[in-house]
Amino acid sequence: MAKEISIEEWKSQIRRGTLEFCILLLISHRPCYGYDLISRLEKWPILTAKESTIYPLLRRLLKEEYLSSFWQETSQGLPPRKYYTITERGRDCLAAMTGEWNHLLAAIAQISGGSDQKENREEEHESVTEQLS
Amino acid sequence: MNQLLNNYLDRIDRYLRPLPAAERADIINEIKSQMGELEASARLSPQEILSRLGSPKELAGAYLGESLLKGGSFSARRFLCAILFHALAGIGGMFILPFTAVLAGAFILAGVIAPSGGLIKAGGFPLGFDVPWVSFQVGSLSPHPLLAAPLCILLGFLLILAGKGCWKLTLKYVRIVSRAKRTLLP
Repeated sequence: MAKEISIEEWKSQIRRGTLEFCILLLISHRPCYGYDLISRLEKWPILTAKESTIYPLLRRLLKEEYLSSFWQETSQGLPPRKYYTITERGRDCLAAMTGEWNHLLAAIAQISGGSDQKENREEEHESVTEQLS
Repeated sequence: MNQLLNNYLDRIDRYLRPLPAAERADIINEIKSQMGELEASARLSPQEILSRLGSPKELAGAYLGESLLKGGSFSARRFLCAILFHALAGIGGMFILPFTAVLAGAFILAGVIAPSGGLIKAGGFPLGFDVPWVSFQVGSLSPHPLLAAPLCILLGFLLILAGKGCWKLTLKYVRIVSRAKRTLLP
């Protein structure tokens, strides 16, 4: 069987690699509870993750002290919510992740030709085909 | 709360037995909260909520797998976690995981007993008593009791090393399985 990259597998690898980053980013803006995080991530199909992914991940980030949590009663007669907030350690980690993320974006932009060369891309393509023929 | 949802939570609770009671209660309350939100905000029926959350095995397994990977040392609780995670993860590991996990425990136990026995034997000799229930043999030879101490300590060290190796193998296996499980997620 030929080994080919399935696009679905690739997408799930990206999601796995970026989910912690996205969760820390969302929580860094304001305290969030699980359902809140899951439904906000659902706005982007590539980031959509199941409960069985998000909740154990939150628990690990809590144990590793990137997050802290508190329970709060709700006024609408719903069960209490568990809110997560980011810790100092979490912010440090987030800053490092943001730096690396920007490096990655810059690297990909350079590899793919950079945004400033977008309009030249067709010309380039033409000259390459000319050279080839 | 709906009977269906309560049964689901009970099953999760049973699968999470190896975790400390407080942590288990926290997990259950959080899932309960998620169910409440799904019912009130997403307007899902109990059946829809359950199909969204996945089987109790799958959800409990995700918690056990994550808690198993967060540390690295061997303990009775982590051992239980490993067995349960494995039982939830599927048939393939039913053979590999108990095998490596039990071997890890047995090797470490033997690694502690062997040097203790050697020390008792060697310690008894100069004091003039022999401990008949601690016997030391290499093949058909019975070396001098004084030799027992260093040899047994060496043996114990090797046994503990083997136990640690088996434990690492166990963790590695769990890591592969949980990675495989994660690839299955949408």
